[in-house]
Amino acid sequence: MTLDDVAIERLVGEARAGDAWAFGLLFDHYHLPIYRYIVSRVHRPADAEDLTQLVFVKALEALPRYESRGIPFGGWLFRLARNTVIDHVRTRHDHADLDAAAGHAGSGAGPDEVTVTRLELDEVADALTSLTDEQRDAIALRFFAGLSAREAAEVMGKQEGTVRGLQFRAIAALRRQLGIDDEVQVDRDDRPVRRRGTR
Amino acid sequence: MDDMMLELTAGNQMLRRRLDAYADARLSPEPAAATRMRARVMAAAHRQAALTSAGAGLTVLTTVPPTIRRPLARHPATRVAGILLSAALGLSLAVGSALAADAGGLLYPARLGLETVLLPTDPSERAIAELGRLETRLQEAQAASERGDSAAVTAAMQAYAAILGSASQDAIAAADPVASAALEAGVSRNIEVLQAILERAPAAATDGLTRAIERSDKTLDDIDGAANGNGNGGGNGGGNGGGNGGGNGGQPGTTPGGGGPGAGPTDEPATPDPTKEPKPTKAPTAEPTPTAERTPRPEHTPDQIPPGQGPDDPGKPSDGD
Repeated sequence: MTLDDVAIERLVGEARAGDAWAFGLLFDHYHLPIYRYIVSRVHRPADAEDLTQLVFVKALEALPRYESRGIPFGGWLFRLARNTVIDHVRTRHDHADLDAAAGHAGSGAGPDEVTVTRLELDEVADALTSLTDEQRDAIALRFFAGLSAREAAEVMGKQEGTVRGLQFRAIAALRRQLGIDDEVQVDRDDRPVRRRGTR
Repeated sequence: MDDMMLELTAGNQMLRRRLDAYADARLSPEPAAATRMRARVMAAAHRQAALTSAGAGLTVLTTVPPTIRRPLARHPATRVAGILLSAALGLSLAVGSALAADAGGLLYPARLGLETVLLPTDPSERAIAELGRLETRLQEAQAASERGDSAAVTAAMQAYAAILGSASQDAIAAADPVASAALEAGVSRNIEVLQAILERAPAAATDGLTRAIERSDKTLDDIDGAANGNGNGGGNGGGNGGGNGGGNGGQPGTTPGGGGPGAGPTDEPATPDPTKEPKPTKAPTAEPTPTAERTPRPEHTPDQIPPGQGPDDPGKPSDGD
């Protein structure tokens, strides 16, 4: 669902006035990036579902006190999501992996292809664990939630340059972990064609 | 997006595609999860809307179920007409309430009948509206309990059970996942509220409250059973059984259908299902209506950290994974 900034601000105003329908449209617009950010940080889909719902309920309750003050609604919502994740990580006691989510991959592919896809996804998951917490946060906001560097910086409460630096180092680490160097080229089907040895 | 995500080298393109594939495969909610989230958030939004209306001085309007919002209704003239109509309806309902429409009063059945007539036809909206009616019954029961009026508590709880029975049957018959999810979330929370009321209720009112709790448990079982293709305990004549071809080999219906105000206790207490546990925002309280005050406050909220004035980082997870 695509909404421009003006439409979002109008919906926010209507939701503040108690319009549930308007808030539903805001949920439709933001729930996927918010969920993606949260699940990339907490890893358990069930927790991510609860926390995503919690973020929107908190937003609903805080909406009467929301003032733009230069930060758009989306940034405000992501900041709420980030604080919710931080609170959750601080208080949780158990750690679980993301095995259950592996079932998403390659639903229409044959067994071999499913295995290959799953291995590639596992490689990315492993590579992400090698990042520092802040690097992972930057990657999650930039690539999984789709925020700009400026927006991600606002959410993280850092300077834009700082976030770009985090992103740069994270990308370097990910490429190193995944064996992707600048000599790698991709063919028409996006498959890697390596001119010299990678990992 | 105001800047390039990645410099477009071949390696960066490849990394980008792998991250995108990872996000699509592992960071996207299942459709059912998205439906559940939306249903619960919308239930909260409708409650919030009702509270907003109450705050505007039209308290009685909170008992009027919400109707489906259409883009047409957003025209200013339509909106003004709607406000006037709502005010007139609110006034007439207020007069009716003042006459004798409280729980156990002479006009109480008529009031319940009017609420039923005003229910939306769309299954999802209807379920959410029914949740609003259930909350009103809880408010009535709590108020009656506080003034020691056991008869009114019993009347409110009989109405609660009747509404619950029809709402669950409607949701199951419609096979509407949003309606089921909304009822599941709302009724789970209602059980907590009922238990809180029960703790402080007059002795003569405990039977009605206990039956309402048991009826709520059974409703959750029925909804789960229907969702798993196990039938619904006979409440709907078996029209929804076996929907998923195999399911989990689950349980047959354990109680006769219908239920209604006089439904007796089930043989054993329902076993709590982890997926049915109250959501983080819904801590058990003694008050039936969820409000911002009753929701656990986050340690940090956006308005606690004004843009550009907060600390550099409100907190760093000690263990991000």
